[in-house]
Amino acid sequence: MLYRIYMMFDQALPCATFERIQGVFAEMTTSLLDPYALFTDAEITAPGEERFSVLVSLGLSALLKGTIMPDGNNYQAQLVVEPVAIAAFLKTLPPQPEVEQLLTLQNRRANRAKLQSQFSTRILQTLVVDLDPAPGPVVCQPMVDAALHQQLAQERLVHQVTSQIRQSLELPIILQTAVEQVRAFLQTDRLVIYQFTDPEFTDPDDVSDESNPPQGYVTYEALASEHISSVLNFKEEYRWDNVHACRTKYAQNRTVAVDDVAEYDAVDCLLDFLKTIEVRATLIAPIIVKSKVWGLLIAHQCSGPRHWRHHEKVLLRLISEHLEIAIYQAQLYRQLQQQKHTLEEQVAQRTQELQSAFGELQAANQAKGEFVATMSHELRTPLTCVIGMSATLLRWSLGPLSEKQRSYIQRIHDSGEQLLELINDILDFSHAESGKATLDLSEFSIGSLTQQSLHMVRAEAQAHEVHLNVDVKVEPHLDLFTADSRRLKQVLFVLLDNAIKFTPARGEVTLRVWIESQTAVFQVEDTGIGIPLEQQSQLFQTFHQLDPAYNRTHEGAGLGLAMAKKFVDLHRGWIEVSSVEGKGSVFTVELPNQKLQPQTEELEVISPTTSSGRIILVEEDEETANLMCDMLTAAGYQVIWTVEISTAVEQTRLLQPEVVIIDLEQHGQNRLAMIHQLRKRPADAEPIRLLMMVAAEQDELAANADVDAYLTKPVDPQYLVHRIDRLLMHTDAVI
Amino acid sequence: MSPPRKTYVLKLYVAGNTPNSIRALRTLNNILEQEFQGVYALKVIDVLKNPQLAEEDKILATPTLSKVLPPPVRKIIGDLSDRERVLIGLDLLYEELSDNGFS
Repeated sequence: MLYRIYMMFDQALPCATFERIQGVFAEMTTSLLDPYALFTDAEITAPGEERFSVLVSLGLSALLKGTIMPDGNNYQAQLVVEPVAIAAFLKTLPPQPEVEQLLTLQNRRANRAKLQSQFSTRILQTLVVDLDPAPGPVVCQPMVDAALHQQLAQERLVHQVTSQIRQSLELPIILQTAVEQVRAFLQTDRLVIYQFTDPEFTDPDDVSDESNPPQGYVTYEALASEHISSVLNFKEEYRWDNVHACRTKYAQNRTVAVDDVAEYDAVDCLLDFLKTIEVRATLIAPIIVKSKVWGLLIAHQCSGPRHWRHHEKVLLRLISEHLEIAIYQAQLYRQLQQQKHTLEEQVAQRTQELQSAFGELQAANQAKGEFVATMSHELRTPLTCVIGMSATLLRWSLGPLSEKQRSYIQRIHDSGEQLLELINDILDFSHAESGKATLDLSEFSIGSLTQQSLHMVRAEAQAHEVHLNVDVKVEPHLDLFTADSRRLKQVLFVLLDNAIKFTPARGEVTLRVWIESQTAVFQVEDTGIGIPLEQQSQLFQTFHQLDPAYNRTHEGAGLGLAMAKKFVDLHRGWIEVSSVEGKGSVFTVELPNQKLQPQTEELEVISPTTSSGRIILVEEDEETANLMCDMLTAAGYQVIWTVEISTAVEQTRLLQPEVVIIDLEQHGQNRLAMIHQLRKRPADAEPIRLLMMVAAEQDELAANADVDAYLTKPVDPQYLVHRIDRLLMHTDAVI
Repeated sequence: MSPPRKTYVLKLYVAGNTPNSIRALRTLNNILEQEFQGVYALKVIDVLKNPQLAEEDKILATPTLSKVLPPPVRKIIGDLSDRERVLIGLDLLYEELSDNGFS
């Protein structure tokens, strides 16, 4: 008897029954003599959620399919034994070794009657057994297993995505990996990330204007196979209001699932887009960053409609939430990088500015120093003439000078000296300020120095009718102190001089001195006009006189206190002022004993007049000698004038001058002999510079003389000073 | 703001190269070198060779040291062996250190 059975049944079965029928499949294989293949959904990967068991052999082929029903406890089950139907089913399975095996063994013959009969009986028995109502709840074990399996796989995927987010800050890598993994998990044809271009989420430099509304395009995609068309960078020309509506909808954090696009009749901006890329079913989850829709995570099914299951929707939303975190992190990181970059640029720029400013400052300071030194020298030379020659005029013995003439000349002389002092001050201050000045330390008596300082201002105090008090409290064994005594005296002079200047008649100026643990304290107190509090801080600034009005009543360039501060600073000391307007001022100087200080750098102050140059002038003519003496002393040299040539050699030996100036005009031969004698000196003795004065017509004689330089008569005073300066400044120079 | 500078003009009258004259010059030299570091012009006049110069200044004995400037004019007669007397005579006792003009 030959008959064909196509389908044994198609009905709802409890889970347990379905499972037992699967068991019958396994049982049947024991009766088979031929090669067979039996596989279930547990062994074969197939799209969809369908459960099945398929048995293929020469004598018996059967297929059990089951789809879970909405109640979750039953399967809609089909049992098929028709070979063509089984073959059709096998074709739907993705290629894999198990499927290959099934396809090899399948045949077009109907089942053998004996085997079919045995199989039918077993099935029947199974179904009958299950007709008895089972006590207790029905537990659908395979369902639980499948759900657990699902849950595990899902957790694994989420874990992969989150660990990727933790490990990398490279957003493109995170997104691409996530897209690929999620696609593989969902077994969908295409998975993409659609990103909205939005000023807030893109580079601030790319901000588009109002006329160019935000759009979007696909930035990442994963495809199931190469047959699926790529939509990467696909840009849809949406209308702005549609995009806006879209984004508003997704901003409510909704996942949209479309099982069949054809049935999706809602007016939606994505609909046209989906049709153009052959999408049949789609699942969309929004990616929301800072409460704005950054983009969409979209799954596409192209092969046909697909029923999106609940856990798939949940998963897609879960993944999109993790991506939200990753995107936010990346944005923060990018901002941080930008800020860091900006900061670095600013630092580099500031450094550059500072460096160039510092360079300019150094150059300017050096130029200033050179200018001051040059100008001081240039000013001093002609000024020496004014002072020297006016001094000579004052002692003019020939011809009468009226009292008026004399007082005018005296005025010229005194003004010249005052000006010279000022120039010297400026030069000295310039040295101190440029840090070139060095301390000339020596041990001295504080008591004696105090007396000398008072002596310097006594005359002025009398002239101003100011009473000078002194209060020295220094133990005898502490009296010896080490500092730069010359500079200290200058400081005290400045303080005392100022105190006297700014104290009205019958006022008092007091100098107090005491020692405090290796520090000498000098205090000058006056009962003068005082200094307003707001001006006290400016007191020690260069060229700053507190009240411009004082410029007319009190002479000075405002250098005094600034210089005093410099000198005190050089000693690493301290100077301060306290004053009450209208009552008086107290200046206090604290000077550490320099013996305790480390050796300061030795920097020599090069200045022609610092030479303690002693000059012997051999000159018979008193008038010439007087002028030269006045010129040279005005320039700061020590001059010893001797008339008589016969004693000059002996005196030179005794006085050890640096320069000898000899007038060769008279008694030429004698003087040449003297030059010869002067040159005969012990080898270790300091050489003496010889400057010879000659009249022009005696050049021949001068040429034979062994001298360092020549001066022609009559002597030009300015040139004389210049020559001596050069001789003593550059000992090796040939003039 | 240095104290006002004073220039000293000194005259030393000697009579030839006598031991007294040389001693006077040596002593004065020491004083000028060690105690007085200021500005000075010293004029050494041999009264035997230039009697007219001695006469103008009314010099009666040698050696004589005369301080011409700053006023008042002072004369110290003798070989200058008494340093204190010389310093007081020259008004230098306190001022010798005050005038070490700087520049």
